[in-house]
Amino acid sequence: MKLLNRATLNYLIYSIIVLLIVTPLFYLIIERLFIEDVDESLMLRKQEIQFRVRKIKSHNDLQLWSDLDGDIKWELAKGITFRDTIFYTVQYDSLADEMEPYRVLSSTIMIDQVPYHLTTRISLVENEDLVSAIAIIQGIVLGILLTGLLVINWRVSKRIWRPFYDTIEKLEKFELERSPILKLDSPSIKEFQLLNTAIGRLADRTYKAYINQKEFTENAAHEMQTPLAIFQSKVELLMQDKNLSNENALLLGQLMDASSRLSKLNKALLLLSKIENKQFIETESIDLVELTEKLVVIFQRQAETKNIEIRTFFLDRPRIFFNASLIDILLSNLISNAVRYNNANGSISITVTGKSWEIINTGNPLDIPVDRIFERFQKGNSGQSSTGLGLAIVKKICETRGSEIRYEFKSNTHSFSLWF
Amino acid sequence: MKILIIEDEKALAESIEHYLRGENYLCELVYTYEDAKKRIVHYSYDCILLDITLPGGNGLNLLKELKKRKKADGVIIISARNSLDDKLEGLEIGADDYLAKPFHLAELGARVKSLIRRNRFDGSNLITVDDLTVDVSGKTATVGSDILDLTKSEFELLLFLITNKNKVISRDAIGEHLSGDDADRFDNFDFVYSHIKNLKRKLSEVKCPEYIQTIYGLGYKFKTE
Repeated sequence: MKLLNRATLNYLIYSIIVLLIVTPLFYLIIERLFIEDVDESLMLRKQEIQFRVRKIKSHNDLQLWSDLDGDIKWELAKGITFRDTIFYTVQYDSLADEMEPYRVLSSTIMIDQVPYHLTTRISLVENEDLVSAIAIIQGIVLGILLTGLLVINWRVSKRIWRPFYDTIEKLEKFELERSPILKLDSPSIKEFQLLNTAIGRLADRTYKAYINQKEFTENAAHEMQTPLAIFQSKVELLMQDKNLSNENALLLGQLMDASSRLSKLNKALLLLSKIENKQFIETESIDLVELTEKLVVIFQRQAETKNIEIRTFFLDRPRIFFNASLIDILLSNLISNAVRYNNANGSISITVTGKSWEIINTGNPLDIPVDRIFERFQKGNSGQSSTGLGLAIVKKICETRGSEIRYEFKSNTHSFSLWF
Repeated sequence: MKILIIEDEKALAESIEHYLRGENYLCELVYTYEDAKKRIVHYSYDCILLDITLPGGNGLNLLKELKKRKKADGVIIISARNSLDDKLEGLEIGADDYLAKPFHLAELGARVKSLIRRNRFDGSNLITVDDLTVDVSGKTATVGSDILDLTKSEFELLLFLITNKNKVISRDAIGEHLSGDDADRFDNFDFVYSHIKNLKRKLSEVKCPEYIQTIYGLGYKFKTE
């Protein structure tokens, strides 16, 4: 959830709660105040009636009064005296021709020593309308107020947080290989200023570390390859000695093999670190069928020495977007692997579909655990001369592209499938 | 034939000198940028072996200096900085060849010979050993009047052996030479054995002496002496 929405949501929930509680409460209070007001009026009216009653001469006058004023009713109390009571009732209103709510005062008044029962009423209709109108208006005002607050808050927050989102956006675009310069604004809010400075420093340090690492890779290559070159050249000079005994020749040959392995290992390690440093970034559209055909021709010579047949099945002609060197190395390593760990007179089949590239080769079961096959320096018995980095490089290349590589051994064949 | 070896690693420079010495080459060794600059300004060489990383400066600047002075010396860059950029830049400036360290001396020998052969004015591209004649530009080999029916690889193999004649060459050196740019893809060069076998058979079919010898534990030698 976005920061802004989170804050706004809290305000919104609070506002709704306030609205839900305050509006009915307000309604009840206003109504109560109003009823009290009506009751007071009724009592006042009674006092006024008591005052006017002196002018009454006969029972008929009372009857007339009752008839003229619909809200006043006189009846003989017939011995029963009522204490003043005010109550709520629903009565028929002849004018409106419907049942309507009233507040009624029932009281006993003595006229010429005779107790009369007085009921007088005040209609609540208009007042109820008024109360609901007040409550509605109050609700609306409250609603507008809260909505306004929410909107203002949202907009202000948005403006305040803008530098923050700016920074995030720039950080997302920040890439060491492509755009290593991170230019952050200097916002007016202190905290964001601090944040940007800290991030800027971090990016600087990261970039420097990255450059250092790149330089180290290059330097390491230089530093290792020079002594290797010296070593190899000296062995090759020794090889020219015409008086070399067979025994020494064998020793020299082994030294030669060791130096060429060292050289390959160095190259493979360099390649691996270059891939990890993402130094292969240019991508292009690559025709996998074309590339596979080219590689099969190149590896033909290797395959022939073990009398291995390479067959290809192109079920589709996919093009993938990737770095040309990396895909070349990836497929080369897989084919090289299929040749190396094959039996003499074995076979290799490569199948290309729209979604996958699969290579299957005959060979003995693995003598290393299946789940460690892509780890560095894991090599089987027949891989004495290999660097032990081939499949680690394969895995690393797949990771850089987000492609999946799977291994399976079934019915004496090894299968590597690449899903792009 | 004069060759200038510009290489700050003395031990490596001496190895190169030692290997090439037997081939009628006169080698001069320099170890620093300044010394190298003096030499290339004042003298001319058939071939210059140039390291890029030198004390006192970048070898590529020496190459630029040569080109500025319109000197025709052939240049082979030998560098440990095996990066494509360096290679392209070197060739762009006008180097004739590029060899990454570590290299086989036999490979260097072949490159030096090939360069000198290309730069020769008489345009002769024939290498002769007794009755055996190799036409480098025509890519054919004859023994007396018999034309050898060689595959492309076998021809390259024969040429590589002859240009390094009387030297023991390891199987890896041959394998890498024949594989060219693809050498890095391969983890063994077992195929060299069958190529050698086929070449020997084809040579003996036309009654050519047994020039190619297998040196126990080490490799092969094209022996003429």
